[in-house]
Amino acid sequence: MTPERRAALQEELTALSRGNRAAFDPLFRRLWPLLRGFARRFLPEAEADDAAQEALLRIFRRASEFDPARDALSWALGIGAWQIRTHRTKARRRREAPAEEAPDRADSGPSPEDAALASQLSAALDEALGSLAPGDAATLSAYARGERPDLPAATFRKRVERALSRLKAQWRFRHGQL
Amino acid sequence: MVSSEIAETALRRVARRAYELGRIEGALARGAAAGLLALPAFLLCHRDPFAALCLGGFALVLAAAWIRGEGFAEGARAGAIAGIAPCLLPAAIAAAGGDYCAAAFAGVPWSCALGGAAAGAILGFTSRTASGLPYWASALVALAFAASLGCLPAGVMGFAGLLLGVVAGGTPVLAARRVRA
Repeated sequence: MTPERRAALQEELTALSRGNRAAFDPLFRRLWPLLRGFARRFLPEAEADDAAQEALLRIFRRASEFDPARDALSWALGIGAWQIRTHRTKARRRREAPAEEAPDRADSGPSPEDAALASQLSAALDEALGSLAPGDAATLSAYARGERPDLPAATFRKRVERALSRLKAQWRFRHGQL
Repeated sequence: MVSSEIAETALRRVARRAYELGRIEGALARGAAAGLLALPAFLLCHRDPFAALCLGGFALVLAAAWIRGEGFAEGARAGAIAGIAPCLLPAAIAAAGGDYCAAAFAGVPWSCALGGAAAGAILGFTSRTASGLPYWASALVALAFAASLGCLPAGVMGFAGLLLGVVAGGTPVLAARRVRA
């Protein structure tokens, strides 16, 4: 952002914090692309737009509290960064959510060929799982059932990641590339 | 109009609503703080309907001025700062044990005049050279409500003393600032 634009942002946010509604539209036009671009650097596009919108609304809700002695750009991006972090945390939790919470898929019934293939794959997977350390196998089984042992979420996630990478290595060793 | 423009227009409307909501929240907080600050003057000296009106009016003016913003908000804040001294003076003396509320205004209401002079001087110092009508209107209304709470026991003489005090305290300060500017 150029120094002129930064100064304009400072001026508009200061005016809006004092209750000058005429500063609303120019500030909106300046902030929205700025926040959207900032969020897209850290999140996928759809999620980035959501995070940018939430940040924008939060900024306008708190605009009256803005202290003109502070730097407007840092203040606005600080709120944006907080919102991005919140979105990333939510996305991570969604990935860790138990399998029962996932929506059911319509089951039209597998064909005999599909069933045979699935059975072979299942046997191969059991074989690869059997070659893992008992702890890794237990972690992956719990993860597949959507259960979480009495562990902090972050610890369990790391264990799952480690067990999965060992399982992949075993699979590659036995059956070639995934 | 393409869909992105429609979405942006909708977002602009929601953002505007968020801004106004934030403004109202700030106004409620300021109104409540003003009411709490002036409450001792009401509780310790004179609990009559006119005093209640002044207390409510003081809180309401601060809240409304904050919602409107700009000169109104700045003026109301300056008026509240200036008016809080004559507002709380009787309550402070009553709390210290003196029977101020009943006897202090029996003769000439010097305390009202002194409080008014202090308020006028504070208002003179806190005002800006370019302050316009919204600033002075909300400043004087907020000052009047706050100071009235303190000067109610003195009746008409108290208000006259207060008014003279504000003029006497504020005029020299404003004149000096104008000369320097």
